[in-house]
Amino acid sequence: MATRKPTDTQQVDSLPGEAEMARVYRATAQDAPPASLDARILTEAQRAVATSKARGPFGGHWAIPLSTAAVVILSLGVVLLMTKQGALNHRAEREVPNEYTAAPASPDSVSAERAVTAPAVSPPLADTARSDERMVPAKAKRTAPEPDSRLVGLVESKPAASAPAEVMKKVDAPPVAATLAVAPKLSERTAEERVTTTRDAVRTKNNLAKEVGGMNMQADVIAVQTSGQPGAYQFNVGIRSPDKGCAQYADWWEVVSTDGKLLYRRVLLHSHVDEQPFTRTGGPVPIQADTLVLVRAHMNTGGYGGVAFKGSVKTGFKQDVLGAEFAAGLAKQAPLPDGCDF
Amino acid sequence: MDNAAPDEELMNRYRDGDARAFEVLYTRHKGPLYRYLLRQCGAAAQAEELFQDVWMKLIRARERYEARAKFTTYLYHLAHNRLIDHYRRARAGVPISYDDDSDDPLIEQVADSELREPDNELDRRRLGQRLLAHIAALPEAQREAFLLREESGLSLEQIADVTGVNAETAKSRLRYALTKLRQGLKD
Repeated sequence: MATRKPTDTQQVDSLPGEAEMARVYRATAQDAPPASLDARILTEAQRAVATSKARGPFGGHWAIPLSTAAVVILSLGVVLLMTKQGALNHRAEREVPNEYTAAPASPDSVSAERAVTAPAVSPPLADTARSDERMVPAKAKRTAPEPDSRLVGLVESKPAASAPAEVMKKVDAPPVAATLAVAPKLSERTAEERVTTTRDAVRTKNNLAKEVGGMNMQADVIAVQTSGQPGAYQFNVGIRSPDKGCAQYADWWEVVSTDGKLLYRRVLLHSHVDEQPFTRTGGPVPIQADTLVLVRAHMNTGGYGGVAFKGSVKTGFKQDVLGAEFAAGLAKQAPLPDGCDF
Repeated sequence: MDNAAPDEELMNRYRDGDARAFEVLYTRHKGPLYRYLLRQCGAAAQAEELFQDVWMKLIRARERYEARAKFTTYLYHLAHNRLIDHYRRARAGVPISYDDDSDDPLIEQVADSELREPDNELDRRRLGQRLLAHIAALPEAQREAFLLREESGLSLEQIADVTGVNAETAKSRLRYALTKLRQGLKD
């Protein structure tokens, strides 16, 4: 339970009637975030710290000053080397007779030139680092979200569909999965293969109508977990979507009966460009433990048509090939997004 | 002992890599922050989303954290900004109550009379539910001042700091809120 500070409202600037109002309010207002949300945030906090430690003692807030210092030192070294080489060449020119000045350069002089020019054409250290970053897929550059172990889990082991093709092409090694903090286990890879297979089946069913440039434009449900009581279940839904900002993002997930009635919709307030895949909790969903339902996500641009999950609280949920046309009219039914934050 | 450590010390320790310190900090503030967002949004799903965003922002900014002010002020600064951003992007825009503080008639006479305390549990619960309904009906800016006070224990100066207004405006908002709530409970 959250800690409150009983003496805070009896401060010197307390107003008339404040104490008794506080008493009534505090006795009543006991809402708290769901446990699944607690777990997600604490997991993220731990993962962030683990990532910082993995970067080593020169990561974090020392990284920028250190890289700046390295660039300055390297630049000074290059300047000194060029100055020294310039002086040597100047002296050599003065010492060499005129008839030899047009002769081909000796191997030594060539290598000396390379030694001087090579650093000048190479990017400075900081630029190199940035260049390397550019070659890493956007997904790998970000710290990978720790999969929620409580979810019917699938670990992201492929580049995000939204990553630009030219960026992806530059990556020769390592693959995204290898650069993530957590390598997928065998069982998770099998699960990922299942998702790919299901996604392919969905695309086939939808005649690839919603694909642009070979990239999936739909939001896929990748995990579903439930908790709570009959008649009021909470759903944790993991989603992977090709979000690019408010212009293209997964704007809700929903629970639908098998005959196409909307049972619950969780509207998403913003895009998740920097958080893929992501999980959002919603509920209460008014169903019984054995009620068979579908869980699917919606894109503001592509509509329905991604991988859905089907099942019940009692039996669990599995991926399902659900056509984009299934209960498509629900896209106009409230509640609908009231704008996009970012 | 972690549970007795000041917020600022815990945040410093988390910044330096102590995940356990974050857990204590989170447990301490999660309820008040959640209720603040819940009452300002009115919908649990939206509140959860904003709640997660605020903590994620704090986690990502941990390496730049410096204990210049009270941690609670820092946390609610993030929350207030996220909330205003959310309002701004919504179709209705930022509520006008954030610009409209002075022309609301204050019902001074209510503040002095005592609120009758219920003598049984059922009545106490009913009174609490009525209070929550009246809180929900407050203009957003006044409700925010009340929640920042009751949930996070901020002083008037800190409420002013968090919400980007001067202390007199913060005080005025809180007085309006308290007066309206008392009036509502007496009706």
